[in-house]
Amino acid sequence: MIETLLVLTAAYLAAGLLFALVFQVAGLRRVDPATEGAGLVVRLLITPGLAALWPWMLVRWRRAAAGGDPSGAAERPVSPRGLRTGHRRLVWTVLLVIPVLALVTLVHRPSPPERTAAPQLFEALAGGRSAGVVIERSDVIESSDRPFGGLPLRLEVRAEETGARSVLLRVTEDLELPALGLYFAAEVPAGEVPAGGAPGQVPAGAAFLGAVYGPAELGFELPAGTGGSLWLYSLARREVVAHHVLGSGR
Amino acid sequence: MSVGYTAVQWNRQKRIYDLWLGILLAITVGVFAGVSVATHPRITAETLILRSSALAALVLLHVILCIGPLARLDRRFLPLLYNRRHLGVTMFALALIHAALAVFQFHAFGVANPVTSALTAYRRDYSPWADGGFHPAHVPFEVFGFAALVVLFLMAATSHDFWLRNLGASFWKTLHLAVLVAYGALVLHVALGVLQSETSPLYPLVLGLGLALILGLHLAAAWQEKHKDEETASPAAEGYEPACPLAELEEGRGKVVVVGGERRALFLHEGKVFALSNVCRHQGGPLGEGRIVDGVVTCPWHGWQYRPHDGCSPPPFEEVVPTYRVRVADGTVWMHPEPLPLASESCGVDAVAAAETAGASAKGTEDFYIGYLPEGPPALARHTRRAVTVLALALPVLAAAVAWAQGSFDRGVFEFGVERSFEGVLYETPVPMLRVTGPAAAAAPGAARLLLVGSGKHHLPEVARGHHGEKVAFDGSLIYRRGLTMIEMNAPETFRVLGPPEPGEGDGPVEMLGSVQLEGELVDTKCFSGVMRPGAGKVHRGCASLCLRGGIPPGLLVRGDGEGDVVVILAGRDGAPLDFDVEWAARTVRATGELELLDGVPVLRVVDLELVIDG
Repeated sequence: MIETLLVLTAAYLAAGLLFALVFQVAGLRRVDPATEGAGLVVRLLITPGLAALWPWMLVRWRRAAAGGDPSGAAERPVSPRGLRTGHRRLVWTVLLVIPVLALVTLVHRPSPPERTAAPQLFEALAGGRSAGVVIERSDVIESSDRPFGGLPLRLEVRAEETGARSVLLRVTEDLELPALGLYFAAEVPAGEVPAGGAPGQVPAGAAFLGAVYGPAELGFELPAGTGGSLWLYSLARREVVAHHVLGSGR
Repeated sequence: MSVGYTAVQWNRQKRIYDLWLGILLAITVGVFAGVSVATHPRITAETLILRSSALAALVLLHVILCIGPLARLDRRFLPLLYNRRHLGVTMFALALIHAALAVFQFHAFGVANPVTSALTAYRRDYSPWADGGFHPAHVPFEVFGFAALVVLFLMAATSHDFWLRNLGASFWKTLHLAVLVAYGALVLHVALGVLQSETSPLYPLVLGLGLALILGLHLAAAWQEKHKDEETASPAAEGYEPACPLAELEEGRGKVVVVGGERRALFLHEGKVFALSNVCRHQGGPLGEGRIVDGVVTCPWHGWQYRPHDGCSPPPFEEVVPTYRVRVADGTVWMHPEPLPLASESCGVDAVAAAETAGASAKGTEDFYIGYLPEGPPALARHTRRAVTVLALALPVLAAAVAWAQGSFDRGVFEFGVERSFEGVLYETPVPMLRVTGPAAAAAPGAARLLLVGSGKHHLPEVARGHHGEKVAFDGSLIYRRGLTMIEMNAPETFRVLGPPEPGEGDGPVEMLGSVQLEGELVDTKCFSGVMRPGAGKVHRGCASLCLRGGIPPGLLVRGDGEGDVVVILAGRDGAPLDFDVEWAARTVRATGELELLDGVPVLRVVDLELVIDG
């Protein structure tokens, strides 16, 4: 139904624009002699009104064309008392209706969705979170704030007595990087990755540990041993974002 | 008064008026924009324009609606009334900017006509009264804004004096009273729209204070006017009714009296009493509150003038107001309620004794404002400056507070205009994705799934369909937020099929997480991932609905317990498309199904999806 109404409205306004064009040429001065000498800007200013209220002006034009007063035999006199009464009733209506409706809509604002009890979702998304228990029992052998080129994350490397190592990334906010993966390479790179990333590859033999995003706490298991380096690589942009040499933190 | 039309009858006062209008609007918009950018750096330019134009329009509407009753209650506000129509047209222009941008932003580039979409996003909606409660989430807010815009358009389009003359003052005034309807509609537009998502108590407070101010002033003015109308006359004698004691008339000043149940204007001018209609031919201004200036009755609103003895405007002007017969007897002015024939010169009568009148010595016009004169009375000018100063101080504070109280904006990045090349394996189910693998040199390269969408509010381009499981390459733009990355395939002409995938490039590990029931907001993943900010909530609902209708993969915005929010992709079972109602967009739904991770992307194979009716 709304589509039909819109089509009818568009047709009405199109007819109004057509009327406005014809009326400006042939009827304007006849209906209102004061428009004699009116400039283009005046004509443009009244055109939207003509398009909207063209039936009203059409009636006036017909009256004027018939030699009568365009406003009709007796234009309805202004009745300020009637206007004041209408004004008062309108104010009272708005006063009574609008605040009540506005209040009701605010009182009944929908509450946010319940927090979801789906721990497996968040644990799975956290990568090695299931290894969290192991991580908690391990010794922190390295911790570093913003080890990857200033990205908002904290790195902790933990080690067990068995020599197994784990990495815990505490990402405090959205990294605003697409499809970011964490890679481990046994070798240690020379030089830094420039800010903004660098097209290229992680070292040969590097291994994908998992996706990195934030905010989240993400856990990853590292191969046993010492040293090596961690690489952040955007699989969408196919570029290295940053790397960190293990052991270079505290 | 005019004998011909000009676009705007500019004069010094109007220029000053418009200059200050521009300054105050610039301050409001500038402060709002500045504070918004400072406190919410992720706000987008589109949202900034949408919100600042809405704020400026609403503030202006409040000012417009306050001026009328203020001028009735205190004549010193009349200078603000003088050029009020410029405020109205400016307000409409701001509202139009807001509406046009909203329709463009939220409803263009979709599968439906933008205007139709804006007004029909709720056509299969659910009753606001479902389950015995009221659910404003089910009530569209767009239609209220549209209704207000139509009223404001009619008012702006008929603001020129041409329309005043050709519609007739009565109809014109009645039409312009509809501004109150527009105001009511806008209050509901705000309450049902942005206030459904914004949680700061400041917004309802500001809206409520504005409502109370406007309605309070109108009621106070209406109360005062009602009392004036109730000053009914005593019984008539020979058709004449007592109008007022002669002593109440002042030389050179008008007085409003009620005779024959209607207001008339009495003037004492050079010792004679004249009675005219109280209604100015221009905008129905109260002539009885006017003065005699240069020997003619002058309307307090816009300075239109009429000769007291015949009601005619001085040549070359042609307006005429009715005049009435008057008598003075026993210190009382009597008036006949029937008007004399128009332009007849017989309405004046000598006051019996000039000494009986309080205004024996004519008072000047030092406190009477006439807008087209170069200078206003100094006392009124001081008062106007004070009023403008109050606005100049209050508006920046209001704009800053409104900007500061906005809810935080989502993160997410849309690399608009940045085209990159992609290569990977295309999957059309469960939702269109591209599986890309990590660096070739890596021993374990890893992989990621990037969702695929078309440009605008459309899903996978036609050229990319039917290539499930094949290795493809194309150009596109990235969109990403948190762990979700997608590609807008905005250059379908670059799409090419490379053949079957190499070993390791195809299907990756699927981690089955079992059956779950999740509850969250139904979002379109494209807008939510970074194309729009905000890309969720009721204000974005029309857009989300249109995106989902266009095939953008639906997502469930799930709030974890301390882990932040996650968007879970919703998909049908066994590769079938998800059957759901796109009009559930931006609402809470409950989804039951099998949860799995595809290369780290959470996908729920939905068994059951239902709308949660919020209590």
